[in-house]
Amino acid sequence: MAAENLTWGWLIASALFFGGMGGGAFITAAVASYLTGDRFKEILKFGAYIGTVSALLCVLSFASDTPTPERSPFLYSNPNSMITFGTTVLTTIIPLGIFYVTFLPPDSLPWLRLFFPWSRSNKARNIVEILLFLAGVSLISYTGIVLGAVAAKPFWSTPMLTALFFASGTSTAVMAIGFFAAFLYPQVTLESSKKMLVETLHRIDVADGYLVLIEILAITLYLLEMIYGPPVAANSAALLISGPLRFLFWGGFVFIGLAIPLLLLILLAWRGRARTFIRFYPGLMMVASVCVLAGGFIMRYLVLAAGQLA
Amino acid sequence: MSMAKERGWLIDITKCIGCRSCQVACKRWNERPSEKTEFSADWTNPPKLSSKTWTMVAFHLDPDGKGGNKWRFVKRQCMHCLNPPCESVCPAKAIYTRPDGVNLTHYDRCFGCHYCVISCPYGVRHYDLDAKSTVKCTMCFDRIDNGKLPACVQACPALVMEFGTREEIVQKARARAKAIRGYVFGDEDPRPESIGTHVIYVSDVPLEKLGFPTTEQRIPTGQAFRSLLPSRLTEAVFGGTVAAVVCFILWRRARLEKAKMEAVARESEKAGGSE
Repeated sequence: MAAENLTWGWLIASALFFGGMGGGAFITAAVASYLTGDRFKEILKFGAYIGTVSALLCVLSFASDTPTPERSPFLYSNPNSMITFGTTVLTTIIPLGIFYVTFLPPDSLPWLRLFFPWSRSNKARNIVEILLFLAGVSLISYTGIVLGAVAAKPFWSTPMLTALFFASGTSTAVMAIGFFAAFLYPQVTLESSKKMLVETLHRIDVADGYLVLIEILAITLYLLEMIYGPPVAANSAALLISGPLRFLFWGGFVFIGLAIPLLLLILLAWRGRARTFIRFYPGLMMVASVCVLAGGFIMRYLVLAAGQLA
Repeated sequence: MSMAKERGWLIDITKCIGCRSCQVACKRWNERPSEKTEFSADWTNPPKLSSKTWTMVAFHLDPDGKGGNKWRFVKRQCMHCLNPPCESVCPAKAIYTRPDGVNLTHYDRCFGCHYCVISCPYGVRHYDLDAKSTVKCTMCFDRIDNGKLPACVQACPALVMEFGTREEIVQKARARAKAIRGYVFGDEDPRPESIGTHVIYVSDVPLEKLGFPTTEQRIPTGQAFRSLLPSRLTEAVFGGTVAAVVCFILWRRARLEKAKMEAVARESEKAGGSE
């Protein structure tokens, strides 16, 4: 694999990955809050933390790919450029995410609320959630459209890529939240809190099961469209399916990123069918999370590489 | 400046002898350093354009249809598009086109995001670590502004290239193509989303067969962006399935809620009856 020939390599792949995960985390938190209020507070908290940190890592990855990051103020100059749009969204979402975090301080630091008098207002929090939902949708869409707007690379020039990144972005975000919730599991000793956490983990498990299925549908339709599309796009698809990128595609993305987590999520959902919500297997959840995150990153790298190498 | 003053540059590849004088002239005038290259089977050297090589001659050896082979030498450089994708995607507005059609770069504004490198259908732009900017052929603007020809045009011993206004160059290219029963590339009329270029090629075979991009790859960014609006079958299938999954989840949720309510009602009825 001629990785040295890639203009956009793993740093841009990580920018797209963190952008998708950041947008997805805010969407997950906003949707969870809208559907269930404060019931699953852990999802809101981890959504806020992961969203903000991911958006920062997205900026960091993007800025690390250039020797002149000090010229970043120029990035707001061209409203017709998708990168100007993305930069604007990131500049909005990071302070908004930090503001959202002030509503949800960690349980171990309850006195932090004293510094943020607005944090007790649910109405204010809901308004921030609506704004974060819109910004999250914009950020996650941006990661697909920034590639889709490039006509010179027919492998990227389709709305299906945005759909794929959307499914993958929300899936990685939900599983990152699942990872931290599962990490918390052994530390919770109070019976009622434990029961609540197990219910949270089950919800995350089922939600991500659906998201992985949607991702499988998206990648299948995307590759079918490319295989039967323009010759250059078909060449890119062939690089993934049967060319030099096939091991990373089938082994890294399809097996580790989709098949293993789907099996683990089904297993976990099946164990939870009794709806007793007494036990959970945090280890399995953490393994599934790591697999989904690795798959999300590998998929973005593969899309970038296949588009450029064909 | 009126349309008639736009520069035009004709490259007739049927006349090229592959001497690479243009490559050398470009290197000398633009002070581009040499670069280490590798031997390649088709004799193209260097194998592709780079930040150090702004113009090159690509060698193509193809069957002539009579049992033999035919060499074609294709000079490559920036096409100075009518609607340059590099310019429209640049977030820093570091890329601009002069009224005479010459596409240039503000080196001190380039952020280095490489979006223009990715977006150029001709693979012309490359990032230069010394200039801290993407660089490429400037149509020797410092020469043409002083009434001289671009260095490569001046150096060509086979008179492969002609320089003038775009209007007259397009006419000449079409007449030449008609005479040799050949093809013209880049002569599309200037309009807001034209895929035309200021560098016009004449060839005896379609340029797409000599490594040039297809029409879909050349469409300007605005049009490419609009084509992202979902309109195809795969998007419809995906959208329909996702909508069906969401509806199923909501329906199941409503059913569970209803069952729970009924159970509560039965419990309370039982409790009332026993009292």
